[in-house]
Amino acid sequence: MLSIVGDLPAAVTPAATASDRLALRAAIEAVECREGAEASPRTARIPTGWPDIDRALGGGLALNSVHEWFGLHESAEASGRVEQGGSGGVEQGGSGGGWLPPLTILLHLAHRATMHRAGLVVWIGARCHPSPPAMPRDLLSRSLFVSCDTRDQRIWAIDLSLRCAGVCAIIADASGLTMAESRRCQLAAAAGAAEGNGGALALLARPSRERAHLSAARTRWLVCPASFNEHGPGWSIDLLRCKGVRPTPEDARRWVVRHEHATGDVYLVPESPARDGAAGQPPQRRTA
Amino acid sequence: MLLVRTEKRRRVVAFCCARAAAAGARPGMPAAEAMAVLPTRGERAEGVRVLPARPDREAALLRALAAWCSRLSPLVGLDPPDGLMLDIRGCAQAHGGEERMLHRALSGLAALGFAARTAVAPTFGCAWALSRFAPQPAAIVPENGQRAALAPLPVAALRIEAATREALAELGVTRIGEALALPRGALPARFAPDLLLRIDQALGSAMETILPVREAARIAVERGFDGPTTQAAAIELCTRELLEQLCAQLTAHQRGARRIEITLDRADLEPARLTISLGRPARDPRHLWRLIRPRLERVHLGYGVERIALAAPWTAQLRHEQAERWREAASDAQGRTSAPDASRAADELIDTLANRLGPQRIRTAEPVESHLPERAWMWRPAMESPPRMHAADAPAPTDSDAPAPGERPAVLFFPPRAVHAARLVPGNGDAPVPARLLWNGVEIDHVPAERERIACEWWRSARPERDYLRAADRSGRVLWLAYEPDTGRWFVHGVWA
Repeated sequence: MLSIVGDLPAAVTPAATASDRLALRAAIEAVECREGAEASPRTARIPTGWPDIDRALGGGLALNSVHEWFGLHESAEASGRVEQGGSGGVEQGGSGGGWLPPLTILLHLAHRATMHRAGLVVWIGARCHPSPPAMPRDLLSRSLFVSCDTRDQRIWAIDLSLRCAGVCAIIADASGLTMAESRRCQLAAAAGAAEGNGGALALLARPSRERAHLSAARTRWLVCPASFNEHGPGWSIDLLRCKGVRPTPEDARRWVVRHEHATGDVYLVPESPARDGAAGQPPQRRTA
Repeated sequence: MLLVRTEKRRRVVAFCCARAAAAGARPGMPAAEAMAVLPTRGERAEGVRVLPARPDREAALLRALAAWCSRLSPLVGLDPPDGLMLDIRGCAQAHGGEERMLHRALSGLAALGFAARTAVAPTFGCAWALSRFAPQPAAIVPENGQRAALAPLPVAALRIEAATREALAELGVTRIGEALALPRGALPARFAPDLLLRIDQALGSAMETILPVREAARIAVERGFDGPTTQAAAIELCTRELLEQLCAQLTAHQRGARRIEITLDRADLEPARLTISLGRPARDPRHLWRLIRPRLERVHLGYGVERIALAAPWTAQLRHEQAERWREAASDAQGRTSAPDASRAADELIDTLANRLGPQRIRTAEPVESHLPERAWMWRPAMESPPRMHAADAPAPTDSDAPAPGERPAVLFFPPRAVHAARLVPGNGDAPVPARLLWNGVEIDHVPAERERIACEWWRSARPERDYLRAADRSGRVLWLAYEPDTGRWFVHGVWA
């Protein structure tokens, strides 16, 4: 921090141009981000539409960083797979076995992003392509579906889309991401936010068995199915990590959202399940 | 040879060759009559070829001939269906005089297989008349000699309409000389206005212009090396410079490339060809270079590259952008990119993705009206139908018949996964309720009674109809189950993941 401050007088001269000031501001924000300081209020955010979660995040999901979402839908137990004759996995994606990204929730967040910003919604990786009949028309007309063969192609496509000024949300299959690649995505998101039209909402879906892997994501979320009723499915959402926000007690970082079949909305269930029992208890304990 | 067209359900001769014309066939006469006058049998063994007239192909041929004629004069106009007008003002000297120029044109066209009739005259109208109605195939009219040259020709040579011609024939006027002798003041009142105009054009007292055919300029650049080189840096630098020249050419023509072809001539190997396709016309060297460079890096150079050629075979109109500098300044001040820039960035993203991953892998989805959930949309390459940038651009939903998006699962399986069902017990109604459903080893309970029956459209292949229902398994996942009453099988078609 100090070394940067020492450099300041060179940049802040009366002759400093607007672009210099922008670069300086970006540099300061990068340092703040690295130091884990309170996220600056200037960072653009996309409200999730869930009041409690928005409050915990300081206004919504930040645009200058990536957010990881872990789906718990592992292709079930070994016994089930044997019974299925090996057809239990999802064939759409590449290697890595069967898992399903929390697409209903990602669809909701992408839809929120399209309401706030102009630009394309890019879905990277065939596994992350929601079925078009489940998508609202206005979201579908702005969606670009990218299929990739290899993990390298996926990461390249994520990097490229994050730096593009004409994109408002990226939802990508990020299974098998290493720490270095995760940092690359994070840097691309920060670069896109600094120079583009304010950045894109970057949502990376990962299988829950990769929860223990290191990553540079600003937030990490765990989604578990919970409390189904006749109006629609529900999920418990755990905020596993949130950089730049004061720590809160663990049970205050779990919420339940519900999808309503009739309206297609995903809304927050007001009461916290952690207090009224273990209805939405995930089968596995949290490790990250 | 006869070219025959169908006119009001009659077959009419559109064109005929010189030999058929000598035998008495004329354009416009019924085909049967022309066949009758032609000596098909007896003294001539080869007979007559009768082909249908194809106006589009004839027009294309005329256009090609116009391109050929551009060696005689830069201004070549089309005179459909069968004529070309050349403005040879100042060109005759280059060919050694009008006579030699005509000879050159006739011999050149004859070498191509065309029997042409030509005329050089001070006015287009006069040249038109002489080329069609003069006895000799190459007529030359000296300056101010129009009146004398036209006088013996029939009035049809004036390019007047049939009604005007008939009106003149009623007066006994058949030659142009007689028409010219009529009192000029009386002409507009008694005849259609085209007569006076055509007379003036033929004599040169009224202006007539032609619309010259412009050949689409081939936008291409190339550079050869002294000897084969395998230095990747030199090849890259050279390609980059050529690309900038190409973009300068595109700018000069106000066009943008839809496709760019790069040819690297390699020593002892066949040329390497790279093709870059673009979703929208583009001529920004930076963007194009980003697309070309990864492809160029992977080219096998062999024993060396001798020549690099870049061409833009498919271009589209792209106007100049006036305020590029202004926009840059504005985006600096606000720290935000303007809407056109964002839209262009999105186009460039699609181009870049499609050129690396393949155009079929970058897609958009278009809703299709179908009851079957797996047929409710169609994939389209994003290069052809790019996604929209704003919600306001989206088309209003037209079909209220389609199910709400919330009623369809976010994940749909292809094909539906079979579910292990055990011990069916007859339930209420005719649909049996299974005692136990297992999917991936997890038991499905909460099987509701209400079902949505989706039948295949009758005009499609016979797929058994299915009853769909939303059920939850023991872990809380909500599945979209399908039951086939005909076969009694259960499937998982989708998941609300």
